Amino acid sequence: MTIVQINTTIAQMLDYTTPILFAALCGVLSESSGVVNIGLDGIMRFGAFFGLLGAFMSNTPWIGLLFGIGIGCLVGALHAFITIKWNGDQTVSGTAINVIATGLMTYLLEYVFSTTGYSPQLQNYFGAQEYRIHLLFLEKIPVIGAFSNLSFMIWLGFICTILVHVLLYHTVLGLRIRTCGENPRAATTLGINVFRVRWFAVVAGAALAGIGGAALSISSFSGFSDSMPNGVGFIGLAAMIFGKWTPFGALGAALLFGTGQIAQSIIAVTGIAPKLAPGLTLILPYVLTLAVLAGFVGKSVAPAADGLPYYKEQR
Amino acid sequence: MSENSGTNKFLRIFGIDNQGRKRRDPLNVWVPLISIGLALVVGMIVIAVSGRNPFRAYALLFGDSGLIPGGSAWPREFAELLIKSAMYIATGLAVALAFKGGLFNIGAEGQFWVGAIVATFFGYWSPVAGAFGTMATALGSMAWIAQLLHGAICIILGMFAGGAWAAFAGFLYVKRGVNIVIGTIMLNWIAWFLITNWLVTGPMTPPTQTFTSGTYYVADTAKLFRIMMPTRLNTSIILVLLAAYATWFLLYKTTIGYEIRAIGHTANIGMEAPKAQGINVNRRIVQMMFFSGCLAALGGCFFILGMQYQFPNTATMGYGWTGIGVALIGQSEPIGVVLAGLFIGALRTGATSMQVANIPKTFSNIIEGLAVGFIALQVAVRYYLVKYLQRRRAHADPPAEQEAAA
Repeated sequence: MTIVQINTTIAQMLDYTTPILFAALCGVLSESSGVVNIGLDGIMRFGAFFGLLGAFMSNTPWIGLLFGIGIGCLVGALHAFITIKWNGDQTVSGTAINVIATGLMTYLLEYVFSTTGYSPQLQNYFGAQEYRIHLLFLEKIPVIGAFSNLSFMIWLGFICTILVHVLLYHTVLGLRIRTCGENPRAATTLGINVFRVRWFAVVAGAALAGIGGAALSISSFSGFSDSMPNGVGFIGLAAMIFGKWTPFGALGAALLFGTGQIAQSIIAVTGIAPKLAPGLTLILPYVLTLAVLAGFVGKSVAPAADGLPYYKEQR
Repeated sequence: MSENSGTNKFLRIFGIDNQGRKRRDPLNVWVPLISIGLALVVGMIVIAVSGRNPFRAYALLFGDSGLIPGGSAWPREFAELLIKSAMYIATGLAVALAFKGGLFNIGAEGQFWVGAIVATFFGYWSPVAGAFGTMATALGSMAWIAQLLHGAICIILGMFAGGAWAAFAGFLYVKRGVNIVIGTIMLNWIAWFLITNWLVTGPMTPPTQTFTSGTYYVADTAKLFRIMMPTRLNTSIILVLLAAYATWFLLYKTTIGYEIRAIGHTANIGMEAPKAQGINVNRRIVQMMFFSGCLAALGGCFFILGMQYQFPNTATMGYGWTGIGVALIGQSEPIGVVLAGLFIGALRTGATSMQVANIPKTFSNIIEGLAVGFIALQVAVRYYLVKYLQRRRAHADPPAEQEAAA
């Protein structure tokens, strides 16, 4: 393997990592406050389509990114409305979002572009050369050289990881979010408005998932395809658990799972292992997550009040 | 509720008359109906906003759904409706059974495909298929016996595999504390990738065929009987109705069912009561997941033995997810699940025709998702419904009278 090959492989891996990372961060933020969001696959689908739509209409990916954030907030608000305002079942609400996303995006794809399966391809997307962030002085160094020519979205993913970490562990709001996830009753006693904090966490998290969706359609690829996000949201969910509900854990897990996604091409290029069927490498994230949950490889514990609706008057 | 015996009988079918549930009363029937109604209205708005005629669209949707008899195409549509419904009812029953026990089996999807692939395997695997083929020739005009046996074996083994797949999630839950939702989601994707990206494109593909052709076709003896000849209607709908009856019987007429419901009723508060009663909660949970997986896998067997006759390379996910919607709309009661399954099956059948009005057939997903969404919002739906009923009652009889009655 040459240096160039190593670097391209790593860059490719980072491309796969980014959507997983955003999905996982969405999960971290939302579940830290005690709201399970299995609808994040659906939110990513929304983000992917609207991200593409914004980029397509304005011919610049920046508007696409904004569209992704906007639609993420909207769908997140819907989830929050159902689960926080009306104490709906969080898993049911998430399922509804996933199912609606499946149907509605296909509908909109047909309605806006009159095509089925694929949207038109974008010229200006974050993966295009002129939108990449060039750090040419790194180019010749093995491994680090992979960072010489990355999409803006990948850097945004790293920045968001740090931001979520700072938010959760170094601000008052973060402490409140975590209190709401661990013990909402204690939070209420301390004068924290649990509902408002959860609203913030869910909507902000969903905005991240929206960016993650946009990262698929306007960064990793240059268009929307009807199969998106193809389960990336669920890998993100797995990454969140594997990373033990922390931002940097999620980053590590996303990197690992991203590697799993391109394990095929790594095996093919290096020949370090006999050729495996794709199915055998694709299941890795899920098997690892189950192993972690079952306590075979360290133990991953969810926030104590995760998934429980909060009734203020209940004793 | 007035003591009208007809109404009571109607409600009893939905399992609503029992003493313990009187508090939750007739709204259990109204909430899903209202959710569907609201979903259809929002769907209409979506169509209208995108500049199409919602009335024409719905006329196509319901006209070709197989629900309304008449017309030359009706037998075919009716058959399609029943074939599709059978699969959705099966996965719906699976999710409903687990709901009754207080568990969210989101893994019906994976169990469905595990059942499908195992049924495929025993449908074409030469030792089995060959034996039944010989038997069929030997029996001559009695060949249907061989078909019956082979089909039964495929379905039983498929169901067993799906049940085992689900029971594994139950095992991880009771022994290792793995949240059932997360566990079954992970198992879904493991099953899906192992099947579609390994088995179907590798070991189970006929060597002479191309990469994209799917698995071997099952032997003729493994196929389900057709019961309405020009159409592809097969026995799956009868089998699934039997399964629904069995589920109802298991839940309401057996000790296991009673214990499952006891676990479900107390699932949120630590299951102390069933434990104190001496119920082996862990064991029941694993068994319940096994039954649930069996039901989902039954749907997978229908998919292969009744429709596709092979595991196609083009299979797409969704049957298990739809099953969640079916179970929720059916309020987890077997009879409700059957009706909800028929409704979703009708939507799916009719949605194909909406393409004439430039509406993609995934439109039915929108309706389904919205209905599930409104059910998630059921606290709000119940709140406004009760408020509305109260206001109407206040209008109907003056307050003084009401007080006297009380």
